[in-house]
Amino acid sequence: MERRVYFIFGDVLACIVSGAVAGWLTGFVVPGDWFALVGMITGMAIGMPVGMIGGYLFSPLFGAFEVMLPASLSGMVAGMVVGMGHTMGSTALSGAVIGVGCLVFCYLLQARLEGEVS
Amino acid sequence: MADSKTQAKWDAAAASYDLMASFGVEKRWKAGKEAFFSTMDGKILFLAVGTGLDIQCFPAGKDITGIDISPKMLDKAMPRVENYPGQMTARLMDVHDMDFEDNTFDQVFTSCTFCSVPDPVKGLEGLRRVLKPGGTLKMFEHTGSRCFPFSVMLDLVNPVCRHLGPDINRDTVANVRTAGFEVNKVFNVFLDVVKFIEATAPAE
Repeated sequence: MERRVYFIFGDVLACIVSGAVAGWLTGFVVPGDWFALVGMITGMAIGMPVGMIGGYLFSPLFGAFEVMLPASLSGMVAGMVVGMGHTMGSTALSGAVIGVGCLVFCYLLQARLEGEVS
Repeated sequence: MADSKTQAKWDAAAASYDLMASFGVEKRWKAGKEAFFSTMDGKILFLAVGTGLDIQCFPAGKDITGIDISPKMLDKAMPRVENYPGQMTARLMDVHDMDFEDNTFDQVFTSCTFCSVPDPVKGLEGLRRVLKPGGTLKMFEHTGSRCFPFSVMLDLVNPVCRHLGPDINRDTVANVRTAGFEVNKVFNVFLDVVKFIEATAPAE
């Protein structure tokens, strides 16, 4: 489990930025009156590459998979949720909040999986 | 003969490799890698040297032979190889086609390597050949995941990633077993994606 402040800060920043950009871009592209499933799939298609690029850009500063996977997940989920029309305030703010949520999910999963398995 | 396609891919990556990997990535993994490499003992093969970033984590005074498929990576690595406080050489060699004698090494170490070896089972079989019976294979590798949603995500983006660099959804632990090793230990470092793997070449 990561306990160094520098890397936790990097993880949070990468997820917030990836989620916010994915949310904003999805909100910009997907009209609010689309059928939710279509919006969700479109949002996922937008959010996933955004998250990957976000993770890739932050990686040289903060780490490899530890940054890229949570950031990719943040982008994907933010795109899906915003694409379905579920927003709280602005689409970017919604994406940022979802990014933090995805990071918390990753940290909890990490606490469960880390260690010797066989 | 070296796989020219893989060689060209990593030659192209050599110029920017340290920029991408030397600060955040190495800083984050440094303590874990130092513990991983601290068990180096005897005659050691290190695959693949890359630009030599891992050398800073090696304990001093060991007898290490490094190999890599990319001449441009090795060019970058040479100052680090020459400054290693022990006996270290680095050679241009493809893991699929190594010219070492059978049963040469006591240990083989790999670090984020088998994501990029085109035929991982054949490469691992080559490592088993050059390891002495009872010798150990120690790997620090990233693999695919069995955890949703990462399992799906890694499968989805792998076609893009493998074109640019590594495969990101391989089952390296299964490949190690398929190549004839006995897997002793698997330790998850990050989720079930980044892991330490320790295996033994069986005594025949």
